[in-house]
Amino acid sequence: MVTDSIFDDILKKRLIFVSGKGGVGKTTVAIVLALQASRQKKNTLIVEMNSAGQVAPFFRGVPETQTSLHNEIPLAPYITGVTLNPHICFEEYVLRRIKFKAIYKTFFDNQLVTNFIGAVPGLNEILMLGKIFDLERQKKDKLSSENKYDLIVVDAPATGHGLSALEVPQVILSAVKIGPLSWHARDTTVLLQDKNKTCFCLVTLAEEMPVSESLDYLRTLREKNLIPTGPVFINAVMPNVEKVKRPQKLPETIRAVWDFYSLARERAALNEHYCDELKKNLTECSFFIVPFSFKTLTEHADYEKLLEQIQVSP
Amino acid sequence: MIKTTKTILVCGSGGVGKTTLAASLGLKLALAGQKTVVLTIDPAKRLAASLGLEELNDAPRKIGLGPLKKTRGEMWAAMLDTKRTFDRLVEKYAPNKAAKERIFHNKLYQHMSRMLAGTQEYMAMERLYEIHSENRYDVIVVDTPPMQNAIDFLSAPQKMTNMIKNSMLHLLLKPTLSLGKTGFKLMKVFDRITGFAFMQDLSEMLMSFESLLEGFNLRAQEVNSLLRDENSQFFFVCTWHNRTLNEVRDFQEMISTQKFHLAKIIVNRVYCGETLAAKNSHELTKYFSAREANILLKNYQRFLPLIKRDKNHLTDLRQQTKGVEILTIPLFYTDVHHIKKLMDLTRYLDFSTDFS
Repeated sequence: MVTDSIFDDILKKRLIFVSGKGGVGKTTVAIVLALQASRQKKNTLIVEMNSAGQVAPFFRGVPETQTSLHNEIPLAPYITGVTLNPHICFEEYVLRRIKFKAIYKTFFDNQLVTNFIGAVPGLNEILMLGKIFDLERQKKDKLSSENKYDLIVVDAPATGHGLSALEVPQVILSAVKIGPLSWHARDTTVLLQDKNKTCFCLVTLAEEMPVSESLDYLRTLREKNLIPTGPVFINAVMPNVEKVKRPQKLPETIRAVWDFYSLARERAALNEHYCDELKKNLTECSFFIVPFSFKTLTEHADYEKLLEQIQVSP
Repeated sequence: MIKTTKTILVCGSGGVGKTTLAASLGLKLALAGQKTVVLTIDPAKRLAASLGLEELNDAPRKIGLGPLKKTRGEMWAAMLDTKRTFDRLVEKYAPNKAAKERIFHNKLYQHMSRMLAGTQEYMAMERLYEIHSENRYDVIVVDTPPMQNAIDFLSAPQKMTNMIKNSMLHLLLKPTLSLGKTGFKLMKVFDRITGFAFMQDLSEMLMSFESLLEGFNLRAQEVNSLLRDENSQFFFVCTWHNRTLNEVRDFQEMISTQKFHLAKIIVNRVYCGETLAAKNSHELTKYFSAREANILLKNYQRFLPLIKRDKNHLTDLRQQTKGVEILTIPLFYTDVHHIKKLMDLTRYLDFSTDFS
């Protein structure tokens, strides 16, 4: 059972960034958080920053290619999804600054835009963060003061290689002192650092490499004051199995049964060790344990089930 | 006899185990008598420690194989330092001291080696080329940067030169040339988008880069022909994922259009095990108490869907890839971050026919 009061703390925010090492289950956690929010009737937007249309198929069984667009598409009651496309972010940003579509068309045909976005350091990231900034401020309609989305969950790029997207606004600020790009970076930094609105959720596996990378990454986030850090999700934790004594003889016919028993036991021990390691190193964090999923997650219902199984770590 | 250096490029998306497998491949080859160097891009400290090093850095260091060593093979390892490799490249191709200084002092260049899309990939290729040119090793194993899309990786050198060469910023760099009214307008547009000061820094950086362009292009071509050589082989690493089949297909397509050589597909962390016949479950009671047999059987049944899934997945993959050799590595019970474990892993990397 999800202890609502603890999940509530994060869901009170407006903007949650979910990230971690490649392959640890960032998307899974983003979906699960959105599901919990939708249960509380919060209008929730899942933003895919680094992938294209991976979330939508879990909800509607639509092929990726049809959903990897820049449009916000409804996925389930209270849940909307959007994939950010840097090219369209760029067009939106430029049009806001120069107002005339004709000028945009004249100067920015596709190949040029591709080269430009590739050429300007960090432009890709700052444009996408800028779009998230806009989505956060988006109202229900022009006259309304009510927010269109109560909660935005961002499935952010993986940690660990090159520069983190979250660092880009500060780097731009240090390199560029004046001008629109600098103002843009300043706005984004203010939103990212806002303790009341924004929070970073780390996802990790309880294994050596993801844990050491996670600890390094959280340290960087804090040292540079990039974004307030929230709870840590420890994914794919193997539940323990009761101890069974190994017999002296183990015939081939039942070898597989024994092997998978050993696998479960040793994985569980390993996971427990690294859960402790995380807790020892991050004393001020709260932890959620997402159990190992013996069934492959393929559809909406699988995630609903997984959500039920998440526990707060004691 | 002229010594030919073989190159193995280990590709795949993030988190599939590339770094560990690259290290294990290197170890396997070293134990088979080859002088091997592993170039990793991943600052996996524990892996470095398990190889007997405090930390890996830019220069290859020899790994002590200790009691494992029975042959005259050697294992070396180095970690990619993007900034240093980039600096060396600038040093090499800058036409004069002033041009070099201009680049090194540019505010954007300071961040550029980390921020510019594709820099890491480009520099990994550059470093490979450097090590290859030294001609000191029999085999170079390259752990490539993880890619959302594994294909992007190999087009990085091309992209980088394109960006310098064809970017519309190029127009801005020569405002005095025939641009006239359009150029002026374009300048105004950019001022509104990013600000003039920023554009100046950027133009300055790209302008100084222009002097390197010829060298960059030349190098990109050299790297390309190195990759296309039949002594360069690509290994694609994947784990089960609902997009794996597509990823492999895209990768194979890219390999064949680019005329690279795909040697192996490695499927990592496979749930292997024969699905147990029903009568065998009775056998359990011969060796275990009824309670224990029940625990074991229940545990085993939980894994069955994963075993079946991976079995089907492999069948599909074999059918789709036709003829490419597929190696499967079972999920290890514990973390692989000790040289002993790397040793265990080498048992599954069987390719004696190619490198002996």
